[in-house]
Amino acid sequence: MQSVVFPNKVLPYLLLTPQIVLTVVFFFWPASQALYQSVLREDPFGLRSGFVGLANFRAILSNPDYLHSLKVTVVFSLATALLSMAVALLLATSAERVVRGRNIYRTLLIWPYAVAPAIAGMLWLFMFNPAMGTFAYILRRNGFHWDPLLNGNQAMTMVIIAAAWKQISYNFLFFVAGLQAIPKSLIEAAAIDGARGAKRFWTIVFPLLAPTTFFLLVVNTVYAFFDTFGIIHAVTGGGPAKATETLVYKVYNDGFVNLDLGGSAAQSVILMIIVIALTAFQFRFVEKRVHYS
Amino acid sequence: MAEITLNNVRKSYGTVEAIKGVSLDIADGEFVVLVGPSGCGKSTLLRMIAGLEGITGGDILIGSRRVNDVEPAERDIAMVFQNYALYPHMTVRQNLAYGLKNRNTPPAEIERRIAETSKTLEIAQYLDRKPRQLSGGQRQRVAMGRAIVREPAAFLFDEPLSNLDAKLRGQMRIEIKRLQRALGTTSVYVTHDQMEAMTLADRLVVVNAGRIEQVGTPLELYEKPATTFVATFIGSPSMNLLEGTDTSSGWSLSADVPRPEGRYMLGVRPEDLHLAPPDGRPFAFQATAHIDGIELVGAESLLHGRLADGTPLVFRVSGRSRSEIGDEVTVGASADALHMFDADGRRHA
Ligand SMILES: Nc1ncnc2c1ncn2[C@@H]1O[C@H](COP(=O)(O)OP(=O)(O)OP(=O)(O)O)[C@@H](O)[C@H]1O
Ligand SMILES: [Mg+2]
Repeated sequence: MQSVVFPNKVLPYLLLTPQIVLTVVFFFWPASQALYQSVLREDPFGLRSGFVGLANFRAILSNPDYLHSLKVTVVFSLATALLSMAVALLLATSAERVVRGRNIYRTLLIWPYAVAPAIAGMLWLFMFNPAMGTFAYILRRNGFHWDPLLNGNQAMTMVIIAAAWKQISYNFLFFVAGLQAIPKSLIEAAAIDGARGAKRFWTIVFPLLAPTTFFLLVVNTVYAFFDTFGIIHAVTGGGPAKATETLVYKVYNDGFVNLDLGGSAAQSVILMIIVIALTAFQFRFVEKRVHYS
Repeated sequence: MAEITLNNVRKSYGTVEAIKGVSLDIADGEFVVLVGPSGCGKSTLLRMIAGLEGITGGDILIGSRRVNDVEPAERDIAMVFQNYALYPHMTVRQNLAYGLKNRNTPPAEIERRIAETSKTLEIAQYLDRKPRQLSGGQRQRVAMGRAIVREPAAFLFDEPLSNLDAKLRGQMRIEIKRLQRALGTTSVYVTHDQMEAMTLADRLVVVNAGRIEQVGTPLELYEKPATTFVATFIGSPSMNLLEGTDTSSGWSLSADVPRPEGRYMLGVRPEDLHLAPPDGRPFAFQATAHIDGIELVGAESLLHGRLADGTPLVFRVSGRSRSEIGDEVTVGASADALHMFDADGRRHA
């Protein structure tokens, strides 16, 4: 590595300042506040708070509500990640086969990614709202008892579909790129070797996509864990009966609705640990990633 | 084992015609090399035989079966790709077994064939490695192995040696030829390297701009090129071509040499030009060139000169050249070393 020497001693720091300020204000400051708050407990009137050590953590981890929320999160995240990846992969492999208008097709499929999560949630809410949703109407007319406002499983299905839909575009882009990175001669060699259709896909294409798939699995899990607050807030508000209350949603609910700041902060700290673990896992993998040559 | 027949085969990409009507009969067990400049359609032709490219017109027959609409897998051919196209996530053994497994070959038979092939190609010690753990030459062998292990009716090669260094390329060339002789499998081999083409081929097919220029043994093509294109393409350095008109200057042709009416092209190979007649008889063709370049290539030197009208002329002398740059040199050739072409480049009988 060549070391760069700046003639001006001040300018480099000046140029770095905005980024550092942003990181400190929006990341380190809240993170440290969460750490600090997580070991405090406020009195019922919010006038004083006292140090309670790890009591908040103990309380959370022994709270059946929290463990329920953890279970909801795992189910929700895995289902969202798998559903959006499966659909994206299906679309990407179909896009490979499209000859005419391939670029239009791809562009259209990327659009949903530009929709804000809360708006995406509203879209699905409108379509499936038992009172006024078009799809809800169709479902009921066909004899399906659709009521996500009362039925927890249906509510879960709805947020999973909304969250997965939002992420399909992103996954689609990566899968298309991944498919394009597979040398055409490999597919041709497989064709000559007598592998067709599903067999070719599962024995050649899918294994070669493994790095992309794994990367997306991590990204999507993180997305489902943390970035789906808007969708859940808009569609179900965590209900009915906490059936769709994920960890992130619970942090918000306990902290800002129920004003248990200490408990909420402790939950965010646990969430932070989860992100760090997931990210570390991802980096380890990316380093060892399969390279074709 | 099979013969391959191409019947007026055509291929268009949109409005571009890449293959403009090619007919060719390849005998059972024959080693045919398609050679031609870049972009002439060699790969396209090979890929059409393999079934990787659709056929716009004409017929392709493998072993008397019309295969125009037959899937690549059902054509009973194996192909060796330029980049080898080994499956990177499979071991060498799995790479070899893949095509057999897909054809429901019994496991014992697969084992037997892999053992045999890996012994022939000396890749037995790499069977459990992944392709990325092999050198370029070893990968090339595995790619060959994947073709051989299938025991197909025909091998198709698309510039399989072009990623190897010169020395290895020479070795593999000999090995491919030896293997093909031993197996007796019909082979079609694409290359743009005329040296490779000459040494490998039972028969050479010179392709130019989507058409076949000439088909023949390497010697036939060298001695009796049918067109000026073949004349300049086969042989290194290229044959000298001189335009014969009433006003051509710097060279002369004795009156008893038969030549086409009107304008014509005269071809003479650098190795057929001599400073003095080897047999003592006077030259039928004689030219005076102004030397402007000398290359010493091992046992001989190549002299680049220009005639009075500026036409380039290359000739060989053995050992080191006694002439120097700037000298005027007169060289000549006997009548049987001359190639006559009419104005549109066709050989004059
Ligand atoms: N998919 C395609 N679409 C349009 N034109 C094509 C396509 N594939 C090949 N061609 C054209 O067909 C012609 C023949 O191509 P081909 O690949 O057969 O050449 P080649 O003789 O193998 O050349 P090289 O020695 O460079 O490999 C070229 O002019 C090329 O531009
Ligand atoms: Mg080619």
